Amino acid sequence: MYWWRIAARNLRRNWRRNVVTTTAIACGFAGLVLVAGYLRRVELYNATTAVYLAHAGHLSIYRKGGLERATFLPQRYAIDAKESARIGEILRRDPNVERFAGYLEGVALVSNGCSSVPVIALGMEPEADHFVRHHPRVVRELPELAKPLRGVELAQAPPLLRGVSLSTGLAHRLSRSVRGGNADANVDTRSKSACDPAGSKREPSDVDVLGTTFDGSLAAFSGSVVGEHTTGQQQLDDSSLIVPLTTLQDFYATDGVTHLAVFLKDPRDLKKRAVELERALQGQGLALNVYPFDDERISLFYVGARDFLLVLSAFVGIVVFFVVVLSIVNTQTMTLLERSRELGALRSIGFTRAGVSRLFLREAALLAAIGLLFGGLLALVVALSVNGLNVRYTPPGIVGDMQLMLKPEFRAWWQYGAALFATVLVATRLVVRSRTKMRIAELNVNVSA
Amino acid sequence: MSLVVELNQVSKRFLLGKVFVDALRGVSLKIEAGEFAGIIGPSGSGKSTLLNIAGLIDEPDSGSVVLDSTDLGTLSDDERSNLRNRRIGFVFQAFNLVSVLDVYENVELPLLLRAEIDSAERKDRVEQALADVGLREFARQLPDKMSGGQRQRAAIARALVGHPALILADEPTANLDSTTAERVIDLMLELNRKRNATFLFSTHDEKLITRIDRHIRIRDGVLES
Repeated sequence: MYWWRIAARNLRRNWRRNVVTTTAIACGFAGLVLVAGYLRRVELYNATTAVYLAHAGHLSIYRKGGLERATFLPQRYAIDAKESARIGEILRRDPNVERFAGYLEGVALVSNGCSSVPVIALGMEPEADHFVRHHPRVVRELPELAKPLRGVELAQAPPLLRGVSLSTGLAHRLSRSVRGGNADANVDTRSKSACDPAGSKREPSDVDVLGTTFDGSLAAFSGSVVGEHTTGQQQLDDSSLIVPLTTLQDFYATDGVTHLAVFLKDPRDLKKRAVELERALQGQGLALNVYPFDDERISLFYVGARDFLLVLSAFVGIVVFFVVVLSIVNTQTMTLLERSRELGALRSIGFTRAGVSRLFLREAALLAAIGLLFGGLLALVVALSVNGLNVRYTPPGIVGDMQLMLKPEFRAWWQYGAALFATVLVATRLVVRSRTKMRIAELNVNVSA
Repeated sequence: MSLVVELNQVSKRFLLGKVFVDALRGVSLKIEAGEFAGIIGPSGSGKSTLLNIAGLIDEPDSGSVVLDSTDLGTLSDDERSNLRNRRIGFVFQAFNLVSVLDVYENVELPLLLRAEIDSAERKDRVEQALADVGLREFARQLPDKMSGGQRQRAAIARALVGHPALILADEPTANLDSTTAERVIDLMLELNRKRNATFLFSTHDEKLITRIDRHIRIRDGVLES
């Protein structure tokens, strides 16, 4: 304790310089924690979008080769009802599986009566849609997207109505609006007059879906827009149509699905789980591939954004590292220069090199601890303030706006704290080491002291 | 009288710019217990270098140094530090006290490195050393608030407190006015006479030279007598 008191007194002696160094450590630490908090928020947003809103699940099961070819050869690469049932048996035995659901994906044209737009049609069980939207993680991370932007969920649509949901961009392109909703809110006036002339019985929510069945015959059905959704990603938001699975299966004349999405309770070690599940399925004679959601073939946007964030965080980390190291090296060099005679006196009365180093390391440790404490408090105050202000912004590639949130993890606090603490000690050790190697006689008469 | 330190054919050279300068050239010297000896010579004659080598804070390029029958050439840096702490006390021209420590703490500092000395003994020794130099009332004073004479007395107390075999003082009166210098010389002489403390100075202060028992003259790195 005695030596710590001495260290504290030495810090007080050069308090101005030490305040600057402490501020550098505090700001560096706060910056790291806040950037990590922001990146974590974006990562959670993107991961939740990929797993839930894009309905990939934590694991996606495709017929072997289906991920690449199912769009062009749907009949050959669809998973039929029998196989789905056998997969379901295996998944039900795994206590970590929260839910699984089949999805049918295909291409179609959606028409408002006078113009048609090619879309990617996704058929899902309305219950699966409900599960995704009300999942605690979706409610927590994407409260803006947890419910339809307009209208109702497929599960809440009147049963006799062939309800469909259009993505916002698609609804705008087709000048369609949600049944019973405020038509003017989403309808282009010129299109409205062209497609829904006065006196027409056609509702602004009516659409026709056209395409070919899996065996090549023409198919069509009329539906009513009951909801408007977002894919979360700008590039997909003007071409997404969601319909109940049975409706789309009737449309394509199939009982199959393109993929099954598996939602897990504990989504750790996904790559390993994917391999294990694939092996289990293939062991049952099912020629299937299982992909984790963070496979770029499943979620290209998520993987690209994640890699970008990793590079960004590494860059910020390196900058902070150098700022802290330079601050510490500068402070300790100045301190040691000023205290050369003291250092010489200590060595003269019997302090070893290691003993002298420990004195300076104690000071550096105190300096770092104070800096980290203030940095931690600063990060906490900034995070709480920013989160409380409900600042909204639109990140690139994302549809709509999202709240600017900083969600630093406890792990980030102590990991960055420990890394900065160690950095301060190592930088100090390097500076002190070079000084303690000087001849004692030289230190005793040092003119800079 | 027992031998405290012995230097045999000690040489030391320094690189000044691009030129090597011989600070000591084959110096041999013996200091015995209880001596009050001074190394006298002009600036640059090698006084401080001789003192530093005798005090284990510098190493000779050649020759040997024996302290208390131990040949220092065989010791590691840590062993030399330990020996300095136990057997040698230093008094510097610029006092070299630790400015954040008060007088008591400065004097106590060498003893804190000695695990075998408990806190009660440490306290006794520090108080005794402060009493010996007349600084008991200034024990809690910071060095910066004290006069040059008081600071030098504190430095002498710090040198004394470990009961060293040898006290080395490099120009101890150089930074003091004449009256204060006299008092410091009186104090060191008193400690030499009463406690049989062995002193070895480097100095060119005439007042100190006249009070020294043994004069060791040095010029251009060579002892003259």
